[in-house]
Amino acid sequence: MDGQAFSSLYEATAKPLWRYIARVCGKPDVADDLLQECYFRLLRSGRSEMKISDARPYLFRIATNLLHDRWRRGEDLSFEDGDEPASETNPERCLDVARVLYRLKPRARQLLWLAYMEEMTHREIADVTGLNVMSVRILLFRARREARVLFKSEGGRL
Amino acid sequence: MSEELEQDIRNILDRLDEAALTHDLPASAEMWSRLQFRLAYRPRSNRYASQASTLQAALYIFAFLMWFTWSGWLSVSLLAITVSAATASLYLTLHVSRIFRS
Repeated sequence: MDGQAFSSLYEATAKPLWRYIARVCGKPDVADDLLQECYFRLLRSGRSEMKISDARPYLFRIATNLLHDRWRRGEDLSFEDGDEPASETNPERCLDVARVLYRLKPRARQLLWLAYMEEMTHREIADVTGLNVMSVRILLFRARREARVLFKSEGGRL
Repeated sequence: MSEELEQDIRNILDRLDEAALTHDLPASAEMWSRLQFRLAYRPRSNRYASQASTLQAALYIFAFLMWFTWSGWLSVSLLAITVSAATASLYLTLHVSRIFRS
């Protein structure tokens, strides 16, 4: 892969990939590091010549594995104020939303993000997370249920 | 699952994503430069570490089996089995390490 090809790939995938990592782990600085690590592993794997449409799920898969590694080490399992950058337009509201989201388990956050923000199908989520389709369906159902309980506990003010 | 909940989840993720809009990512040229540096200067010893350790383990097992079953002459069948096992384990390790690297 040359610089030109990398540039096309990066422009097409970096933003959604960073958003995914940052929203799931809740730490923008960590997301910066993991983003670089994703592309590094892609180049190192020798599969960097693949099409952008194929590289995108592959990068998400790498990011997911990196996130799982962090969870295994006990990192990113709790959310602290200041981890999440507040929105410039409405910082307090954004922080409230973040607090609620980060009360979910990391796996639930991950599945919800892939399903709703990346609009992936169950099959695509299964490929990215390494789960089977049935597990994705069940875990996603549970994640929605958890989210519903949290939203209700917030009195619907979100 | 109600449509309302689906919409709530989408809204909450959308709102949270507002924060990402203010975050500046490195330019592609900068990222490319960093990656090239990392690729050029990554520790060479790590490249074949898994294969080397597998070969080492296979040699230990081979040596143990030879010592254990030594009967005055080199057993060709044992040698064949051990070599094929070592080859298979090396292939498996390469495959697994490739998956883990990605």
